[in-house]
Amino acid sequence: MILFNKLLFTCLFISIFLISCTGNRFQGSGWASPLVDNDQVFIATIDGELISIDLGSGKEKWRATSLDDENGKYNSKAIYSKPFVFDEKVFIGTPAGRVLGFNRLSGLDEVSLQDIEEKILMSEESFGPIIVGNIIPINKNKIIVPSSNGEISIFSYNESEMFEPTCNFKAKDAIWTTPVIDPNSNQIIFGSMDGNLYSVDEECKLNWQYNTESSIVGTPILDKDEVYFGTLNRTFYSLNISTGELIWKFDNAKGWFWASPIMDSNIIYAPNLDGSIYALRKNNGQIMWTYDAKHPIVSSPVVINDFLIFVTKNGELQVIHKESKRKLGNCDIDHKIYSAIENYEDMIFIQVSDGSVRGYKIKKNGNPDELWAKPFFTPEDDDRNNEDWDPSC
Amino acid sequence: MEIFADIWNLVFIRPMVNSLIILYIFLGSSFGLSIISFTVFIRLIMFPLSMRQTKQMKAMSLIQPKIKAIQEKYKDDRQRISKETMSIYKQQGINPVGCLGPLIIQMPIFIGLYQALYITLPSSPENLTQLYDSIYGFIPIINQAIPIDGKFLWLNLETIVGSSDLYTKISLPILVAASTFLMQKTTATPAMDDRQKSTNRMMLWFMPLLLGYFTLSFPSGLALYWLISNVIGTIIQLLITGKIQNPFNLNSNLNSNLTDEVPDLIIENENKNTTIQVKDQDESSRNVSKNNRRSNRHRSGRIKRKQGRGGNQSNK
Repeated sequence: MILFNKLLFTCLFISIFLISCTGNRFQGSGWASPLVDNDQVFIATIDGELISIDLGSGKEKWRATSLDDENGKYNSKAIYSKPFVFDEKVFIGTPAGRVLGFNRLSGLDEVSLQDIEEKILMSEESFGPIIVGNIIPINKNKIIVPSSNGEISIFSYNESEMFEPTCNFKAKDAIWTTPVIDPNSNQIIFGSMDGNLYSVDEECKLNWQYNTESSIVGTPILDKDEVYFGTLNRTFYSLNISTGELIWKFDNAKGWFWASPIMDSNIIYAPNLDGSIYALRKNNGQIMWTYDAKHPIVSSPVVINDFLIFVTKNGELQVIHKESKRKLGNCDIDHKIYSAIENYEDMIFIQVSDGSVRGYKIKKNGNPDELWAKPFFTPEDDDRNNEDWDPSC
Repeated sequence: MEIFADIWNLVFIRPMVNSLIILYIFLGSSFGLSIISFTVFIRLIMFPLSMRQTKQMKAMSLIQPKIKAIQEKYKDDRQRISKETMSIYKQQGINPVGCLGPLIIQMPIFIGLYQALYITLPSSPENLTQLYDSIYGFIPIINQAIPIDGKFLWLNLETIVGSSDLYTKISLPILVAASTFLMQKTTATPAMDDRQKSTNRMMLWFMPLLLGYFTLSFPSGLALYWLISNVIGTIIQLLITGKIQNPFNLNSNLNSNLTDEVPDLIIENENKNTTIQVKDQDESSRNVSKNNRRSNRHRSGRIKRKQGRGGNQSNK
């Protein structure tokens, strides 16, 4: 009996570990949304690669491999930051805190921010600051890099095509949001996990900060004199851009505001983890309507013509009419989706956590039509890359 | 299946996740202290079960010589072996599945705690959305506490041990393996035959090495939980078995219970046939036997008189 006891205990014990160690439970899968530039779609993958895809066919053009040598803090090479184009090069921020630039057409390695960033960004974290928010170019000669160690750093691009550190600002906790720039005042506005929405100038000097007492994950949006954002405390705020003073707040949501909101015709569409999209009046925050998508929404929606298009966390692409709220079409992707939708004309592109990228054309009646769906695993000859995929729509 | 997952989440995961977060808030935003205090709390709740399990295992180990003798005597009659064994269990008040009961009750709690920990400390940004499904969002302070600050001593509790700095990468697996070894060593029951002895030996080394290896792929917070759980488990075990002084007199309670329940064991331990086996017993069971001998001295005269009449019960 004692022997049996021990064996049973061992089996139970081992099973816990097997359960926990399968399915990459502790590995990050990334949430970089694709970038459309001319006829190319750039994706930063789960395996930590930058791949250029032909927009029309979904065929791979080139891939830059081994952006990071080792797994980062999240036990994977998965990339969270969306690629960006600057000076005819495509750049990417990696989990190890590196910023790398590639020739847009050939993919050849051209610029690296690694040396600079080791001096400026590398601080307490053992693997460097993970770049979770998107890197933003400003004024054609500067970039802003947000990082998970709470720093916003500005680099200027000199004549010898090198980035030089200009300044940095440190928040009290990680920055996962993408910084946004007010075109009128050149203020840089971003949220932090420390609960503050910050406004800094181009010299990284603090203009104002607004404390919400809850983490800010979703990137804020700007419109004229106001900035709009949601928090994990189930509250959505509107602040004055110049002073940082509260204009209105909406606190009737049932869950976290995680994804970035969007604005269209004076209406703010704020997705929520409670499975709803809240349509709020821009000027006073009054609720116009709520659409129940049934599942949490963690990625930012888009508006194309009269349609509001969004994906739920469990992988359902839904198209609704933005005024009548009538559901016009949906596709069952059937895998988790964390990345924001990239919109180009009447097409949308989505990176899915199963390692695939999918392109859809939104027809005039609102129905989504799958253009292509392809996995992009490493190595390129991984058998999964050649599997036939069932259409999701 | 989904309904079982929902029940599991409702009964185990959500209360544990929210308790951990509330402890974190009230313990100065230290998740390390939250893990330690919650582990102590769970271990204390589990204490009566641990005590019962230890008592049953002790009793089982002490009647092993008797069972072995029966197996020897009736080696060609399986039915008789089973019947005689059951009658000994009945006679000594031992439930053969009694050892399993506490274990089976404890396992879901430990598995739940383990799951609650990795949900509360997301090891990647997207896993933070999983935490949303487990919290009581209607309590504002819980929403405000998220994300949990994972810094504790030299550790970053949400970081995978294998991806941490060299010091953590080396120290945590060694600490977890060493504490598991100690835990195994203190809970090991005395082996009565070679097969069991080799299983015990294998477990003693295999489990710590296995856990030490797996630690590399866990977040540091889980490794801290295993470490603390093992240390507390070892201390409780030492208190129960009387290897360290304790203010609650737990071991005497255990021993006196055993004395009352298994009075005939002394006869078996004094048998020539089982002398070799008794030598292999660990210090604790020898202590238990000594205690038993002292407390049963008044009974020995009666037993010897029985033996004098050729009345050894096991040979009847």
